[in-house]
Formats: sequence, structure tokens, C-alpha cells
Amino acid sequence: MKLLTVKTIAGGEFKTLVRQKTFVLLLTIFLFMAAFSAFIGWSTKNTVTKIYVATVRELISSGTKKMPVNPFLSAPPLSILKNMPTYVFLIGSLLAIIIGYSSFVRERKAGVIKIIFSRQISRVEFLLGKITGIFLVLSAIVGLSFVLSFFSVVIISGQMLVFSEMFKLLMFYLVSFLYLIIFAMLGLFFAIFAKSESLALLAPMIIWIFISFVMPQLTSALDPNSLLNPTSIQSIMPQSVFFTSTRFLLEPFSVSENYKTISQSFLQGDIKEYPIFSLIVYLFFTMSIPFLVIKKFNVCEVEIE
Amino acid sequence: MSKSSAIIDIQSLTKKYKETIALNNLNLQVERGEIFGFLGHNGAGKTTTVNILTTLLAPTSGRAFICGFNVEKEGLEIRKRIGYLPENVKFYENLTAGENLEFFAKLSGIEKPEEKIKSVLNFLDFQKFENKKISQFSKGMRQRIGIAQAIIHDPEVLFLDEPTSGLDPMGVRNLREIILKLNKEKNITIFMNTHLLSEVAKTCTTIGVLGHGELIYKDTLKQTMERFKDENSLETIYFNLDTK
Amino acid sequence: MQKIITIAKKEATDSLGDKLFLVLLIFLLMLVVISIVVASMDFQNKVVEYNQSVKILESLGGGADSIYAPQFFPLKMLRSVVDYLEILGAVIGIILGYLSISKEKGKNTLQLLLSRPVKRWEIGLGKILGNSFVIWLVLGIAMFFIYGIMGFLGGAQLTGMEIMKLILVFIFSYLYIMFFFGLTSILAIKFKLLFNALLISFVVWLVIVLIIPQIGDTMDPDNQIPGGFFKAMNIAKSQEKQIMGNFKNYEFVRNATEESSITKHYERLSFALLGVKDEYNGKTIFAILNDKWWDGLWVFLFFLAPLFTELLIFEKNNLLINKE
Repeated sequence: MKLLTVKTIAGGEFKTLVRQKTFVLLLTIFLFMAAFSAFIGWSTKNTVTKIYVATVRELISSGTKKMPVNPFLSAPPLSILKNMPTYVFLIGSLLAIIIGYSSFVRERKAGVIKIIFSRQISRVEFLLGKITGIFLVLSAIVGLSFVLSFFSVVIISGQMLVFSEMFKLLMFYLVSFLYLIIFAMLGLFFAIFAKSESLALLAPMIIWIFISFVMPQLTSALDPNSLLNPTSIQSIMPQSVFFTSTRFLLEPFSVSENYKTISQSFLQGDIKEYPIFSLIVYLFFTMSIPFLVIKKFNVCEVEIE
Repeated sequence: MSKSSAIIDIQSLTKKYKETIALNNLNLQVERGEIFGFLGHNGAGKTTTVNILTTLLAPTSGRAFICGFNVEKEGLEIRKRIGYLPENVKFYENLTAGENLEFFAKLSGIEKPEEKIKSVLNFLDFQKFENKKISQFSKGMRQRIGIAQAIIHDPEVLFLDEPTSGLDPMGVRNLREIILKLNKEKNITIFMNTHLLSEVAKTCTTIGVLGHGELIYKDTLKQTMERFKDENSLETIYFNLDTK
Repeated sequence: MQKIITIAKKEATDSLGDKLFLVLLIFLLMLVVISIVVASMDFQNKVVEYNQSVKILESLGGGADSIYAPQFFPLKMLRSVVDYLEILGAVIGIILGYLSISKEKGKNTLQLLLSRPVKRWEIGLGKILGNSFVIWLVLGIAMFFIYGIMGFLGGAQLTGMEIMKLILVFIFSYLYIMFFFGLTSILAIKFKLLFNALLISFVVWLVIVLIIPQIGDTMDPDNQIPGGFFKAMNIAKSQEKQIMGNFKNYEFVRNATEESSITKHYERLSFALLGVKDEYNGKTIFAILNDKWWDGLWVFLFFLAPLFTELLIFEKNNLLINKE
């Protein structure tokens, strides 16, 4: 294995991705997501606090003595970002598929793959280079989103984050990064594996739908709208033998649910569960499958529309 | 209505894309029964011409008539009378050769195409492949299905866009024989875009040369060979014309 | 007409033979079945709870008049079916729209189609009709499953009115799905790279189907606490309305966000027809439509716009302009 070749491929990958309009677009979307979730969190918090004050006034005038507490009073500062996991889970993962997908399909379409594979480079080295490039790009995107989130929280709450909160925010973005890698690898895998370009994009999409909607339905039996609402995750799920057993069997593997739980634990601080198992399994699995198919990849059948 | 007797009558045809001029004031007539070879370098505007003549594309200005019908106003009438084989058609790969032909035949208004398919495949000596899927076909075989779909409704004019591209010598020869046979036995006028000069010399009755959207030469093959008899081949003639 | 049917037929057989489409169909049916099972179990739990409460009250010597028996509205169990049609139905629409154009574009068969004596809009219409048939087939199968499961699980017999309501929901589901079909077809025709067309369709799908309703949902003050903010505050409905009256601007923004999405209109109308909110239960179709005509109109306009545009694009002469 030659480190230099891997570095060349990775560098090339990073350069092309960054120079492409796609990258600018993805970065913009991510930063927008981060800013937008902060904005929604801020505006909702603001309004609900006002509603709370109005409610308390109403209760006082009607003579109630025992006052309920403002639900936002105890919420940690990061909780205004609580929409961010939903966006990473919906938009981010889809974008990650596209990053992984385009990194290989580009070569296939341009026919460059024949030229590359006829050089002094093993296919494994080539793939390692690609993956490194994808890692670099994703970490750049996630890193910048972290910075933006950090500043928006500081500005909105009007005070510096304590170290433990900063650590939690960092951990949230790290977990998000890993979650995105899973989908980028899926995209890469199908770009190598699929026979046509559209199948290469639609197949990971179908898996994405399965992971994001079908699995959660099986394990939580929640209706899909509640799956997207960060507050209702903790709401009570229907109890029955069927769902207790599917939950027991499938939940450890429902990576989207687990990702949301971990994120909520870091951001809202009220679940305190870190089911990291599925994330590791999926990471390991999706990162190894491209290597399994790259050797069998038929360079002579690369003509795809 | 067209004034001339020509089956293809192009009058000061111009086509502009956003910034480039693909065709510049093109005038050209092709008579019934001819095999017309349309020569020109890549990007000269040959495909644009065919696309306009087959009513797929509207010209920016100028007029063109096929069988006396205006390409802009009477597209439907023209499309009843022409067959077209674009470059690099791959067909519907999930269907068999027969099913592909059936689909296109029906769109040409043939209600019971079974017999027609049989006779066309027979004409092309291709019967045994009727029930094979297109995805298993070689380039040469696809090209035959391409011809079959283009003649299944007995058109008067056949447009072929680079029909020999990607074919092996055997395929080129087979195609040449088919073209000559179509012209002779079915009396179909053929308009062929190509840059394969040797083929033009062997099949065409008339040639035209297009350079940067303008017609720079047109005459019968016989006249051409006579006029330039000092040049030893069509190739030299072509290069002399195109570099002028 | 014969030619339109020829194109429609081919379109339908192509789609029905597509593996991706079939996988999505299976997903959809699976989710439909599960969600109805969940809903019916949920209801049975409520019945059990009710019976237990009655027993407790009787053992205490009191009557059971103070608590209400849970009322059974079979259509209400279809709430999640609508949710899944919103999400997966739209994806099916996207895939069908994409396939209907992509199969012609990469292979240059569009030239072959256009050089036949067929009017251009007839090609477009053939494609629309063929895929409409496929979507109706999907909805029909879903309907069959729903009917079967409901009969099997609770022995719930739907009344004539309920069946009419269900059919109406499915008609609007068709309109809703066709919006995505039309949108993706247009993008696939217009874009040089099919991949970009597909990408943009999915982005639009994300925004319209998931993000906008999600924003509306998370901005809802009542949704800030599991179980409801006002419930936690011990506030009555009348008081809640009075308080919220002071926050009209906020509610306006929230509502406007939701209004911009066809999904939300489709959802409001379907939920009303299915009686997801109790106030609509037992109302006639006419009364419901009278109340929700606005949403119905929006769904219809969203349906018409892209299909009409598609026919127009087919009719215009610039289909091939991207080629050179």
C-alpha cells in the first residue's frame, strides 16, 4: 500500500468536490439548516415564554394558587437547537448519499475509471483515497455547522457556553458526522455496484426510506409526524406484545431512532441514553461493502448514461 | 406549398441556438428517388438539419418542405411520410425486438402490425431475432431494428443520421446493401448524414457538403467524380472543399 | 386516441415491471397494514381500559355514567395511512415521473416518438394516463388491503357514507401523487442532466412533505411538551383560545408556512374526511367539503399546474434543444 497514491486520490477528490457547485450548495444548505434550527428554537422559546406569562396572568385572575413552572425554564441552552437532529436525519443523510454517489459516478461517466485502473494503483488504494476525500469534505461541512451553531447559541442565550455544554455540542456534531458517513458510504457503494446511474441513486434512497421511516414505524409504532417532532419522541408508545417484541428485537438496529435519541440526550439533556451500538454496526458494515464490490467492478461495463 | 418538384425542399433555413449559429441560410433540394449523402465535419449542422426536417426542431427562420408539406405547420402530415433513425438509439431494452417494432408501428397508425413486422423483418433478413430482448443485441443488430422501425410504415423519405457509426466492416456492408435495396425495391428517397466518405462513394447518387451551417457544394456523384477527375479520390475532393 | 392508448399501455407496463417501484409499493402496503393494526390495538386497549374503569366504578357502588365509552370510528384508524401516502405516495409519484422521461432521454428514443405522426401533446397525455392507471392500481390495492384488514381485525363494516368518504380521500390522494409525478417529469424534460432533475425533485419533496409540516408542527406552542403545553398548565380550551388570541402574528406565520405546502392541504382535507378530529365525525361529505373546500381547491390546483405545464412543454418545439 502506497500512502502517496491514497493521498493523491484523496486530495483530488477533495479538490473536485470543493470546486464543484454541489459542494457550495451542500455547505449552504447545512449552514442554513444550523441557522434555521437556531432561529426556530429562539422564536418558539420566546413566544412560548410570553404565552406562559399570559397564562399565569390568566390563572392568577381566576384565583388559582398553585402555579405550574415554565417548561422552558429548566431547558438547557442547547435545546433551542433541538430541530437540528431532525434536519441532519432528513436532509443531511440525503445529501451525504449524494456526496458518496457522485464521487464515483463522476469517474464512471467521464470514462476516467479505465485510465485510473490502468495505472500503478490498486483498487483498494483508490477506494481508500476516495473515502478519505469524502471524510474530509463531510468534516469540513459539519465543522463549519458546529461553529455556526456554537455562535448562534452564545448570541441567543447571551452568555458563553460552559465547558460541559460545549462538549455536548461537539459530541452531537461528532455523532452527526458518523451518521452522515453511513449514508455517504451507501451512496458510494451503489455508485460502484449498480448497473445504471439512476438505480445507483434510487437504491440508496429506498434504503434511506427504510431506515428513516419503515424501521421506526416497526419499533416505535408512532405515526410519522411524531417521528419528526423532537418533543414527541418521549411520548408514550402503544403497548402490546407485538410491538414490545419488535422493539426489543429491532430497536438496537434502528440507527435513525438511535441517532435521534443520542442527539436529544446531548442537546435537550432529558433522555440520557446513548445507544451507540447500531451506529458502530452500520458504520462498520457500510464502510466495508464498497471494498467488497470494488474488486468485482467490471471496468468494461462502465458506460452508463 | 413548395414550388419545386423536389421531395425535400429547403429554403433559406437558419437555426440559431443561444449564441451559436448552427445553420446559416441553407438552400437545398433533394429529388425523389435519390440517395443523398450529406457530408460535413463534426458540428457542421447536419443533425440540426435532420432534426428540423423531421419536425423535431423548429427553425429560427426560413422554410422547408417534405413531400410538399411545411415542416413547421404540417408536422403531422410529414411524420406520416418519413422514417427516421437517429444516431445511437438504444431502444427500449426491457422489450423484445418485435415489441419495440409493434410499439412504433402503432404510433404510426398501423392498427394490426403483426404482418407488417413479419414482412419488414423478412425484408431485412432478421426474422429469427423477433422475440429476443434488445438488451442482448449488438450495435449492428440494433441498427437493423432501427431501420426496421423507420420503414415499417412504408415512408417516402428515410432520414439516417450517421448510420454507420460504431459498426464493424461487416455491419457497414450489410447496411449499405439494405440502403440500396430500400432505394431500389421500395423506391424510398434516402437522406443520409455521414462522414464516411468511402460509403458515400459506394451508395449515394448525390452529395452535398455542409460547412459551418452553409452549403458549400452540391452535385450528383457522377458529375463530382468527373469534375474533379484529377483528384484521385472523393477524400481529396472533400478536403479541398471543406478547407476553402 | 388509439395512439394515446398505445403510449399509455406501454407506460403502465414499463412502470409495473420496474423493481424500484415494486419495492416502494411493498413498503407502502407494509406500512399501511402495520399502521392499521397499531390503530386497532390502540382502540382495543381503550376498550379494555374503559371496561376496567366501569368495573371499578360499579364495585364502588356508583354508576358508570360519569365516563364515556370510547366510540369506534373505523375511518379514524386510517390516519397513518394518509401520513404514509403523503411520504411514500409522493416518492412513488417522483419515481414514476422520473422513469417516464428518463427511459426516453438517455436512449434517444424521444426522437423516434416525435418523428411519428403523433401530436406532441398526445405523447404527454399518453404518459400521464398510463401512470395515472398505475397510481390508481396502487391506491386500489391499498384500498383492498384496508378493507380486508378492517373486516378481519375488528369486524368493522364500513357504512355507505364511510366508503364514499374513503373513495374521496383516495381521489385526493391520486391528485396529490400526480402533482409529484408532473413536477418530476417537467424537471426531467427540462434539465440537461437527469440526475439533477431527480435531485431537485427530492429536495422539493423534502421541503414540501417533511420540512414545512415539521416546522409548523414544532412551532406549535401546544407541542412544546409531550402531552400538550396547555394540558400541563391546566388550562381549559376556552381560556387557551383567549390567550392565543394575543399571539396572532406568530400563529399567522405558522399557518402561512403550512399553507404553502400541498401536503398540508391534502392532510387537512383527508383528516377531516376520515374524522381524525372528532368534530368532523358523523358529518356528511357535503358538510365537510363545505368546510374544507379551500384545501381541496389547493390540492386540485397543485395537481393541474404541473400536468398542464407538461403537456405544454411536449407541445412546444424545444424538447430537443438541450441536445446540441
